[in-house]
Amino acid sequence: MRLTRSPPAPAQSQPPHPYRGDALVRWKVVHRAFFVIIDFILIGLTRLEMALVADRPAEVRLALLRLETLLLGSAVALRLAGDFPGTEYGPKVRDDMAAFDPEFSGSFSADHARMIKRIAVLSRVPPYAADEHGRVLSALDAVYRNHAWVCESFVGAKPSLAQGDGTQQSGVDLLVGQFRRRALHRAGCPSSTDITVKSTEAVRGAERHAVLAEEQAHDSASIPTT
Amino acid sequence: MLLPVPQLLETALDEVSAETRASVRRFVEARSLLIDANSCLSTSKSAPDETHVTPVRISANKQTEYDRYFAVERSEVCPAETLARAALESFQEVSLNAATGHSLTPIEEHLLGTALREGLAMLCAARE
Repeated sequence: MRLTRSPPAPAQSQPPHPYRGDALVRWKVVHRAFFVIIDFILIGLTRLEMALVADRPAEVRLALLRLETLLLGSAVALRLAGDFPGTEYGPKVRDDMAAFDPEFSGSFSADHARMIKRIAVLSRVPPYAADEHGRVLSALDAVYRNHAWVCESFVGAKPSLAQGDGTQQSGVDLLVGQFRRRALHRAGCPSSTDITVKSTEAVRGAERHAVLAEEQAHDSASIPTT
Repeated sequence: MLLPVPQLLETALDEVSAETRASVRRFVEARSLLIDANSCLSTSKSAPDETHVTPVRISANKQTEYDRYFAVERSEVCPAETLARAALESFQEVSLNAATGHSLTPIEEHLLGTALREGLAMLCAARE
């Protein structure tokens, strides 16, 4: 008996994305929630600093656990902000941001810039709170990875708007590489102490521009507004 | 949405008003998942008083433009009250938006809701 070859299995079609609304609306609505959580983190960092100065171990630990909760919430907010059909990112969201500012970047967020500057408080956590500190660092890592997941699901290995088209490094690589390492370093991550934070040796051309944009955001965050 | 100038959140915070505190309490105690949260929130617009709205020139133009893109205004007064109202407003609009579909897992929903509740509880506990 001659066996006939089975017809190729039909390609598994992706189930339709559950979101039925406008991609740009989701992007903006959930970003606003992200800003609120970032502001909560700023307060949490201030509370941590006060507990450190007062040398109150119980309050230090509590403040760290609260920061872990807030950071994880902010990571989910990033994921939800990009929770819409991938085909809508380019024409609906990316093009809208590019039309507003060709170099549009999350680094221009006043709340984010302030948080990145203030996160250095975490590097002063004493050894008695090492476990809680480690949980905060893991949560911070999750924030960057979630952000990168959103980027990767939409633009793959392409550069971000702030990087421009002439770059070879992807936005994802920049996020989970340099930006993530720098944030972890600032937050006192022991395994990132060998990182030269400001090194731009491997960052050329437009990639350098994106890095500078974030650094400028850090600098501007230190300028009092009142 | 009106948010405080972020630097103000590093100073001694104002006391959240009794009305906002009551809304926060209902919200924190509800413990509902994200898409059900509207049932425990007041439907009244939680926009701050006109007197609280202060045009602010943030030093970097890019920051101002970024705010404008996301329809964010800044206030220089009552940072705790401003942020509490913004959080309630934000949770409500996120809940409404999430009701039109999302792919978050229950754990992710929990983490997002918990972060907003934890932040609000932190604000309202400031003077307790």
